[in-house]
Amino acid sequence: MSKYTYLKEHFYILVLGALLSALQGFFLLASKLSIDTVILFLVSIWSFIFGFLFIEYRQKNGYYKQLKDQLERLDQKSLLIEVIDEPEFQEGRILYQTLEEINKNYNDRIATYEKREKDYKEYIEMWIHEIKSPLTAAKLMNTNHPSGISKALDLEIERMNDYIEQALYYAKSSDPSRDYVLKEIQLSDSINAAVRRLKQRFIYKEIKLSITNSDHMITMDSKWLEFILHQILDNALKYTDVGGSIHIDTVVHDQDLEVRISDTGIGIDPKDVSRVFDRGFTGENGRLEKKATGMGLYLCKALCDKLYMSIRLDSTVHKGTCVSITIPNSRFYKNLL
Amino acid sequence: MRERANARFCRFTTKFMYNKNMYKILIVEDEINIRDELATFLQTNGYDVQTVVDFCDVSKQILDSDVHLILLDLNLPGIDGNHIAKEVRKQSNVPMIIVTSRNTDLDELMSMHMGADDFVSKPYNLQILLARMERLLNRSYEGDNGSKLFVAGVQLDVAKSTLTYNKQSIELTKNELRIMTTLFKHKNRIVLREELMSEMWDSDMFVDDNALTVNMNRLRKKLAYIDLENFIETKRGMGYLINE
Repeated sequence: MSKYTYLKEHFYILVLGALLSALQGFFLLASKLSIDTVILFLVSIWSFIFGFLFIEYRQKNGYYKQLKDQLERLDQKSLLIEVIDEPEFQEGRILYQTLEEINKNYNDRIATYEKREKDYKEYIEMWIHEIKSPLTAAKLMNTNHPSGISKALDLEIERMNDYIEQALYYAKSSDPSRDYVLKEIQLSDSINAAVRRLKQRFIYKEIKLSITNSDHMITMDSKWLEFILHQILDNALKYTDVGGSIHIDTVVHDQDLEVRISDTGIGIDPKDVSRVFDRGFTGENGRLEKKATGMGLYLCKALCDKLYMSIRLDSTVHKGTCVSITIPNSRFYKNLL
Repeated sequence: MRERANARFCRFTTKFMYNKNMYKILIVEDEINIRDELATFLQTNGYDVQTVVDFCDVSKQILDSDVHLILLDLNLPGIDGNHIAKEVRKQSNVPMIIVTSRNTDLDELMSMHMGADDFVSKPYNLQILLARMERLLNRSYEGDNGSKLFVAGVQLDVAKSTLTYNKQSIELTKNELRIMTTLFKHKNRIVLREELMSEMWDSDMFVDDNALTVNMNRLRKKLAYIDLENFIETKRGMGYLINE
């Protein structure tokens, strides 16, 4: 609130004061009153005017300045109403009450959406558990009644399961709450579990797999890690030709541990590499592979972020791709709790 | 069709039973299709199967039965499986495997805490389910004896990883043991190379086609030491076979 603008907005008072002074001065002089009395009278009028302007300016400026400072300070601007007091003057009170009203309305609407999202997430999670029953039944029937298509059907059931898992973790990745359990686990258990689920495709595509240095204790949610590794391996399998190879290696650093999954696949165009973790990005390879949804790596990144891990991808066209995930050591997670 | 299939399985079952008592398994599962198919599957694999069809007082039914192992679903009508596990555990040490569609670490911790011995999520890999059941049964009832398989006078000791014939023994590596176990369990029928690989992958031995050939050749050489040159028959382009 600048003084100059304030004065400009109250210019009418000054004009009125000037008019009043002129009028009164004229009458008083005409009434033959002494010049001293007239001056005294004019001085008192003007001190009254300036006094009024000064006090009002101080009061309003104080309040609005506090308002502006608080607004600047706040990260969550919508919390403004919580940190300022209701002012003593009326127009300020109108502003305050308006803000309060807007805020309340806004909060109600957010609460509605939050509830809707929570309900939706709950429904998705319930649905995912429900759908696993018919899937299990289908798998059992397929095993109990073998036919020419059993193997193909089994692969399709596995694919269904993969997509269902993806949906579950998508719901988890956007959930602000901490939905995982950190405990001491053996890294090789998670790697093996992720690999086991893909065994049919490894065997079918005759892809050579080697795992080295995987015996380490880490602090992690084993299911989340398994899902991330599964996604990465799924991609590696998808983009590696028959007879190729996939190597999983672990390197231990001071602060963390790095799991590298490298394949001898078709690689990724350099212009696409920086965008592979974007939601829905499929790139050149995705267009070749019609089934690419662009969700796999995006989800990996989102889940890694939630677990304080980092994920990186390096690739050379026609040579292969290496995805590495970096897992902080147990100390880091202990400090977190 | 279904009956014929069942009949075939029954024949198969009797032939399949190797030297172990028929273990009785109780399936606690409310989805009829899963229950029936799982029962068929377990019967095919040499188990005697009972099922719970009435879900009132399940823990009492479990305690009254004389089964060797319980497969317990968590989502039952009107009752939580974990609660049943806890009730049963108060009075009995019968091995229990929780089989459920819930699959987070938290669910697993919870079930283990309630007294379950193992936790398998749906849709399960059936071979892995069998392996887990077998491990648990062996641990609970047989000590070392349960891990011995016999075919034509040849004894495979899974726990010690040895193969004995005419009082001569050879030691097997992890991979070789897995190959032999698979062949022993499916004696008298051809085991496809792919099947062998799949079995090995289930036990975290990630071998490829070449490695399998290498392993197979090494195993044959070992077998020759104890005069079992032709114990494993090769069916060209298909797989392997051992005969009673």
